[in-house]
This record gives sequence, C-alpha cells and structure tokens, in this order.
Amino acid sequence: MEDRVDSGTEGIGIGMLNGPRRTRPSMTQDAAFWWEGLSARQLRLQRCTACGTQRHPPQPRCVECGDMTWDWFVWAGTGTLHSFVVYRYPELPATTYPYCVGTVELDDGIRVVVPLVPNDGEGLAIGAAVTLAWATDEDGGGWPVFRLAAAS
Amino acid sequence: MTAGTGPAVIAGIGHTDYSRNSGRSEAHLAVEAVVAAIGDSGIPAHLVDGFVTYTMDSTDEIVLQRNLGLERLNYTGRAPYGGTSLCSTFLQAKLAVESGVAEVVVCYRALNERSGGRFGHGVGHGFGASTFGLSAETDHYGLYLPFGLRNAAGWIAMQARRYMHRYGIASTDLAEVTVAARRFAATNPQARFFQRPVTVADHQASRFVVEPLRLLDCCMESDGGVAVLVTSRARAVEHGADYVDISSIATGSGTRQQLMTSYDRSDARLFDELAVMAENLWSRTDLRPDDVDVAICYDHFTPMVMAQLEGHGFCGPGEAKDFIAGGRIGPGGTLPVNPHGGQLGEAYLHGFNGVVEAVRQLRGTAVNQVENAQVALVSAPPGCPTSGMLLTRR
Repeated sequence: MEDRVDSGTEGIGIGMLNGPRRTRPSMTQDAAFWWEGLSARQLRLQRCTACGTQRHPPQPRCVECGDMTWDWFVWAGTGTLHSFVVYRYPELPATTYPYCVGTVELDDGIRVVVPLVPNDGEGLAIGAAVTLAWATDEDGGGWPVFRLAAAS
Repeated sequence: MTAGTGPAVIAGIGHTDYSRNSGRSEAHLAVEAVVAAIGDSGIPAHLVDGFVTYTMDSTDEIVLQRNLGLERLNYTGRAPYGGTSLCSTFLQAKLAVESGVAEVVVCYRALNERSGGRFGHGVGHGFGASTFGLSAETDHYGLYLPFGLRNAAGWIAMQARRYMHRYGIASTDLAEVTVAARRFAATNPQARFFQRPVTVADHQASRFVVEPLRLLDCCMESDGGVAVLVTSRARAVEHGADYVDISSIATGSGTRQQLMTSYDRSDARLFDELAVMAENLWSRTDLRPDDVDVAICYDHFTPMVMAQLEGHGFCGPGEAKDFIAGGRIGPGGTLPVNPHGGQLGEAYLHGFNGVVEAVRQLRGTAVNQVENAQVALVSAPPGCPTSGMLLTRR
C-alpha cells in the first residue's frame, strides 16, 4: 500500500485506502466537479457566479441570490476540526479498520466531510487546526486526507 | 369521495415475533402483522381500503391487497427517510381517513433486518440498490460513502460527538439510556434481550462501533413485522375496537436539512428538524410534557433519545444527561421511556414496535404497565425530516 502514499503522508497508512476497493462516488452534473477536482488534487468548492457566495454540498441554486449559474474555486486546505468519528466495527471487506472520518470547517465557515488521520483518531480533538495532504487511490486519482496542522 | 367521518383513531395493533432470523419472507412478516392488527381491531378485513409504509419497505401495498383478498384499495402512501418518518405514516393514514379518501388504513413495516441486509453493514454492502435505488438519496450519500461514512452509526456519531462535546456528555451518561432500556426488556418476554439486563460497566466494556458510540449505544438489528390500524372513531366504536385517540401529530424538516448529514448547522440548531416537529406537535394540543405518562423515544442510538427528551421540553438543552441519571427513565422512574425495552432492548423495527407499546400502555395491557397511563408521546429521532404524535386514552 505504500506506493499509494504521497509526500506528506508517508508512514501514515490510510485505513480507507488499504482495503481492496473503496465505494465509488455517485457523480451527477451538480457534483462531478468535486470528484474531478480530487483527481486533479484539488478540493474544489462551488461558488455562485452572480453573487460569489460559496456553498457545499453542491446544489444547483444559490440560496442567497437565487442564481443558478456557478463555478468552483480551489480551497487551500486549512481549517478546524468540527467533529470526527472512528470506524471500528463491524469490519467490512472494502476497508481496513480502524479508520477516521471528520467534518472540517474551512476558514470561511463551509464544512466538508473528509478522511482523517491517524486512523484511530488518536490526538484529534474538536477545534483542532487541520491541514490537507494528498494520497493516491487505487485508480491513481487524488485522495484527500486531513491531519493535525501541528503534525504537518 | 365520501365525507370524512370524524377524527381518526388507532384501533388495532399486530406484530410477529422478533428474532435474529425469521425464516420467512418480509412479505410473509408484513401479511402476518397486518392480519394480526385487523384481528385485534375487530373490524372486518374486507373494510381495509388503504396501506401506508416507508419508501424503504420491500412489501408493496398491492402485495398485501392480494394476500388479504381485498377487491379494492382507495389509498396507498409511502413516507420517505426511514424511521424518522414513523409518525408521518400515521399522519398520512389520519389525513386519508379524515378526508374520506379511505376508511380503514393499516400502517406497516416488516423487515428481515438481522438475517437479511443489515443496516449496520452500510450502504453498498448488501444494503445499497434495493434500499436506496438510483435517486436523490444516492446522490446525497454519494458525497459521503466514498470517504467511509457509510452507515447510520457513523452518520449519527458525527453529530453525537458534537452534541457530547457541547454539553460535556460522557459515554457513561449515554449508558443510562441503555441500562434503562435493558431493564425494561429484561421483563418483556417478547424482547430480544428478555432477562438480560446490563449495567453501566457492561456498557463501558462493550466495544466501539463508531466512536464515540459503543455496541451498547446501538439498537438491535432484528427480523419482524408490525402493523397498526387507523380508522375513524365512528368505525372503531361500531366494531368495539379498543382504540386510542391521536391528540396531536406533526412532522418537521429543519434548516439546511440533509439526510443524516446536516453537519453545517450551528450547535444551537444541531437537531433542528426535531425542534420544528416538536413545536408543531405541542402547538396543536393543550397537553404539556408534564402530562406525558409514557414516552416512546426512537432509540436507534442512545444520544438521540437524550436529544428527544430535550427537544420535547422534558428538560432544557443539555440537561438530558442529568434528567436521565439514576434510572429516572427506567422502571419505576419519573418518566418511563420505552417500557417495552425500546429498540435497544425489544427489537429494532424502524420504530413501529414503539407505537404498539404506546397503544398497549394506554389500553392498560402492557407487560411493563405504567400505572394509569393516559398520555403517550411517540417521537421519531432527529437526523432526517422527523415526526411525532401524542396518543391518549379515550
């Protein structure tokens, strides 16, 4: 599995990437940019073309101004940990356990659900500063993983 | 269409055994439960003209129609989002009856959730296509499943950690919910955990499923079927049914609502769908939380029982951990919660067995009978658009 791990994530062993095959994303026209962004090693977030309001998860309409045209921007990858969970049981075949998933609040208040390390959540706490690193998934695409900023 | 014939009531209850492996199809379980509910009501089966269940249920209304030999149905309905829509099914039945669209509507839920596709095994692992299909739900969960947030325990745990963090709730506080439920279940012969009470220490010794939730914070995946019959009070009286009144019923969806993952809310509105539902429920009645003799709170995961006690005003925000301490929601407690043992102790059947328990309590026929129970709350949990109802003895 080590060949999947990129600079900045050496030795971490990302639980979600150590199984035979992860769940494939569901890709609609509204959310394809998000997954395409991962392949390009970018965390892309949706932004209203008319008023500039950022939003996530992806949806067709801006609730601020009602406009339905949008583009995306690349998020820098720093934020704070809003909450997190550690999956331990039952151990399903697609993944090795434990693994960690969190909700990260970006500096502008948008929250995204993303993989976290360490896999057992050791040292993680609500409110902690976290930062983005990239690994490679089994299809060669980018795989975002967040870790404590102090550990980067 | 005929005019409605007065307020709708719950006039019949029925269920199968609850087990690890029913050995029969979900349709078989559904038919058994529906036949039992009709029999319990005393209303002739041929008068049944409507069915309501969850979108998730695998037994079509017309399958029940064929098995019961009903020549016609006048209403069929489905409620989305799973167990949070528990009382939404009853709202549909009530509206159908009171509008005159149908006269006798049976709400049902049947599943081989333990021996078949287990929810705990997550979407995409024996649980995917048949349950979610290709739909808006697929698109929604598609943003989370690839990152491993793949089942209800994880979706709930994310909110639970935030809730616990905000109010200083410890795992030992959650244990109080389980201990109470298992004490009730221990004296309920039909409960899957009959004669198997647990202690706080047992809870603490149980392994983590998805931190911060332990195995004993999670309900018991089960096989079984439940059905509850709704009709007009006039029809119930005509056939001598031992009915209970639906004094208030409500649904609610909250701000920035998502399916299970409304993580971009402020802490104050963490469980906003519950707040909306509770506001609707309690604004439609003169009853107050103090009037409730028995509370059926959807207990798929322990923290959500605490959220419901707060959301309905039995205590203030963040006060549930003190409210439930010392066995106060258990046997002999000041507010008995889920006296059948709940889904932590009796069986997880998407909440429907809780409605059966509420009716039994009001009839005075429950196995763990609360003395002189006159008002029962049935509440679904936060997570998705949710629902609740207040049932009263006639």
